[in-house]
Amino acid sequence: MIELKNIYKSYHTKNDKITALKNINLRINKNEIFGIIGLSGAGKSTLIRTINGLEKIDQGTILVDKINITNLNKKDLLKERKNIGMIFQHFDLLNSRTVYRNVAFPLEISKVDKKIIAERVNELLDLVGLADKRDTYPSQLSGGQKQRVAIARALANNPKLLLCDEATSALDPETTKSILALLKKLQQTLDLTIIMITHQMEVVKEICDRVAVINNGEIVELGNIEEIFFNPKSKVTQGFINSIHSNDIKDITIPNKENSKLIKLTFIGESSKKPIISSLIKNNNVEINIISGNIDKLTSTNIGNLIIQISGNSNEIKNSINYLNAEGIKWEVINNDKSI
Amino acid sequence: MINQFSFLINPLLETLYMVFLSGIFGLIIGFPLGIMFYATEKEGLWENRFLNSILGVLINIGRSFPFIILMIVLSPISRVIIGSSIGTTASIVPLSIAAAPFFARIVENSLKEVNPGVIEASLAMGASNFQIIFKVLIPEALPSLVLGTTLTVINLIGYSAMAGAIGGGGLGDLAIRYGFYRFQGDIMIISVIVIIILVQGVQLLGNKIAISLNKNR
Repeated sequence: MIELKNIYKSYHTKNDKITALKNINLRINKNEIFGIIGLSGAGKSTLIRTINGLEKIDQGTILVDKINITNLNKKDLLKERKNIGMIFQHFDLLNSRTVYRNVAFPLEISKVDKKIIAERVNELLDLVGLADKRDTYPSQLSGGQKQRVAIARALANNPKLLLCDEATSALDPETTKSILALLKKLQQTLDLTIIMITHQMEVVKEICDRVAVINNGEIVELGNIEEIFFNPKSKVTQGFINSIHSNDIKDITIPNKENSKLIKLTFIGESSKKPIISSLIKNNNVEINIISGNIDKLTSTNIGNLIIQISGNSNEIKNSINYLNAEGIKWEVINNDKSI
Repeated sequence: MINQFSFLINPLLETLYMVFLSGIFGLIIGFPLGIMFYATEKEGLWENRFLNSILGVLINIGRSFPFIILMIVLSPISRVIIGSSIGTTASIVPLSIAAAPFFARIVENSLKEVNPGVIEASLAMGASNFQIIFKVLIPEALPSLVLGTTLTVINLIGYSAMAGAIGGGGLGDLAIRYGFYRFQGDIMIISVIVIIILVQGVQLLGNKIAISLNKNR
């Protein structure tokens, strides 16, 4: 549905040239929730703004439903933008307008008949659960409510594509969850394609189907959410995944033991339900000490991580590792300075 | 009582007449000027450095002219427009010309205060530049625009006191001619008090309107 080919973009300051986007190639499918994650300054905000032409690119092609955004004249671009909804980190509602009139705004711009506006706005407010706030001004709403208004506003013109620019970054965890749940629901009921940029891995794991990791203006990793969590390749991605696991192994002091190894096990899907640890102990003469563990609930599956200290003679440890291989569990020996 | 203060009535009406009309003309000229100045700024809706610097210079020149000089400089123009270079009506020309750049600057400042995110959001919704100006910028800046208008009107009340120099009449003229030159201190004090009341009244009204318009509380 959306294709970005060979995108380059740089900014010129007085005596410097800053490359914001470098050789970006992306295909975003219809009806998927696509995440773009990156640190601040990685270029993700610029990237999402190229899709509705708020940012002009230096080179490349952007196709949205086969329409080449980069070639449109001003008038056609404004028309095309009406088919692309967008929400923002700071909601950006019009303070001088009530909730009702905020949602009506894009319809007014499109010169829709007043009666139809009234119908449509009420329908949208019902959809986001804010029917009782229609005559309230934004300053009287909470952050989550403001974002709901912004979502209703973004959907007013029945877009098939919704761009979310750090839409939950200014919200607390609870509110973030409810907004993400709303987006998921809307995506399913309205057949939306959603592109969301964020620096929060929690957001990605909560609702994204696929994710691209962007760093210094380049895409460093791209894949299904399970792949990325199960087998993160780039340092940046690993950093993002570690960031949601508060129990970083480096911070834990591990008891000194002879003939022991620290092993990180990663389970995906069905394998997370098997009694791996008890089988290990039963079948081999090893002792197992569980250091830390976590489980990530992804959109489609679960991924678990377990760090164990396994001790016993080298043969027994070898057998245990063979058993892990046989069960299809990903493992790696990790080093911890504090362990020896 | 009414008879006692009847000497005030005509100068007061003259002041109101001058301030009201020059206020309207000042707004009519200054408002589009301010919007153009704002819109042509760097990264503005119609970025145009050349036009922007011309407007900037024009506005600054207009604002730096001492009003008393402006009146004299503009007297030929008043003669062309009004048919006379002296009198209450003639003084409306320099008053309007003085108010316009002041108000333009205030419009520009008010519009600059509007959250840029809102403009971006409107652009993302496919709003045209005109729609952004009239449906977003002006309504969002309205409380601040009202306060700016109040400031302009109060300035005009001050300037209009100088209009006596070209026979414009008004309360300032009364204070100087009767109060100062003829040593009638009481008349001077009373005219000054009336000017103060006028300024207070305008400010209070402006504040009230601005507060009632401000939905961002």
